[in-house]
Amino acid sequence: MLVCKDLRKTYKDKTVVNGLSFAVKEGEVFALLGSNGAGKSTTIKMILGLVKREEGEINVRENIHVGYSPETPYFPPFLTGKEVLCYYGRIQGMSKSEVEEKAGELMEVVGLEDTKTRVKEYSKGMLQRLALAQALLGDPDFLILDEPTAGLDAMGRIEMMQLIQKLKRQGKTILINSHILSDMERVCDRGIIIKKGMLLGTWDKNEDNKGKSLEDIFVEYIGGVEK
Amino acid sequence: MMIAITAMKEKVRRKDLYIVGILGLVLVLLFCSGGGTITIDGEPISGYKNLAPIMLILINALGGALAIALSLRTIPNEYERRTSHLIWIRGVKQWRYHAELTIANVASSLIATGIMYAGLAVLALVKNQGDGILRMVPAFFVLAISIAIVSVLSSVLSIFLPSMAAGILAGGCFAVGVLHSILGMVANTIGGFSGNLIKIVLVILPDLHGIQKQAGNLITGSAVDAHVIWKGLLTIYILTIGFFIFKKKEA
Repeated sequence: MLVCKDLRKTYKDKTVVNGLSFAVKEGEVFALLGSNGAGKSTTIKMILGLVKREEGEINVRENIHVGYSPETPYFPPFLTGKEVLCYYGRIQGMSKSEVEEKAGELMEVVGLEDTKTRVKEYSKGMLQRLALAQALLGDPDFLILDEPTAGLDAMGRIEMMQLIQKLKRQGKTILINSHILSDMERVCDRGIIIKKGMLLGTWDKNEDNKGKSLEDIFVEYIGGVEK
Repeated sequence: MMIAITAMKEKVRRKDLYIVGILGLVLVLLFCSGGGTITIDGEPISGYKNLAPIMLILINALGGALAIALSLRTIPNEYERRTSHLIWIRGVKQWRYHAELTIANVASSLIATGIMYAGLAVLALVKNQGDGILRMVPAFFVLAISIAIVSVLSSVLSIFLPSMAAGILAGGCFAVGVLHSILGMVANTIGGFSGNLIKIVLVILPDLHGIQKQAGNLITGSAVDAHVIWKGLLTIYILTIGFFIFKKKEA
């Protein structure tokens, strides 16, 4: 679905992504793991073409629709959640009737049944759900979720993870960037661990991890407090 | 046009648009409410035919300043709050994105100018010139060309320049535009290198005063120089090429 080779990005003198390579297979949930400032969001933005890469190759399978949920979503504050979905749906070429129907459906899917509240009154968690809903417009084959659980309370996180699992069961390929390891271990199949934009190691749920949790593997690679 | 409509709605919902517009209207009315004793061609200066063009000068100046204020931050704001991300990933071309935001800028600038322009209708009614109200409609469309030039220029500059620099440059062009005829006289008077330099600047920059003058001529029933209006429309057309030339490297 996605192959990234030797990605590199520098801001002024600081290299934020340094020779990063990885591949995401169709139908899997893939995690980009790393501490804050590891280069996860920049990598995602390079994949989406929002940030220019200096070196490297990005190959996304042709003729697929990609959905993106940003880390800090900003939506026109005076619109209701449903109107936001209609707005983005129309921009991506959906017909008015099609988008009206789909918006209502997606509001239910992400658990935002109150369609009359304006976005300016939304909590952080509601904004994250709306961000996911707009990413699902047009039934994308490949979903890129940047910190989908950032700012969510415990219940919100659980519901978001359940939603991601549901999308996985529907056959969606998902790339998630997060530093909440317990969440990632639950929903992801594979992942890479990065630090300062460099690949430190890989993690595969289906491989023999010798009884180690994702947290143990992460600490081994990144380096942390001795147990 | 979804982006333009939504950006427009966002601006229209902001109360400052109306507050500034109404303050401008009050200012225009206050300025023009005094009774003068001077006459021009036998008509008192406070008469409708003399006062209307003066009001238009004020409306054009205030409307232009408002157009800069309303247009300067729209595009940079989209990139700062990263609204641009969800637009770019949907395959919307940059020129279209920026053009739609500019349409919202022009529309909101015209609404603010329109509020002030309502002062002219009040003046026409006060001066028993009710018939002149009909002529004010096409005159507004002519005046709109001047406001649109300032708004489009500010928007295009804001794509590639920091807000401060874009504001100074747009403000400078606007000032030259409204002082076009005065600067023309200055250029002819001083002559030499400086005079020629001013003349070159005046050829490049739009004659906003000339456009506003044609709007005044429409209101007072005087002859209109269509050439100036066409030049104004051509300026807008040329400015829109900026959407294709100036692009953001990253969202």
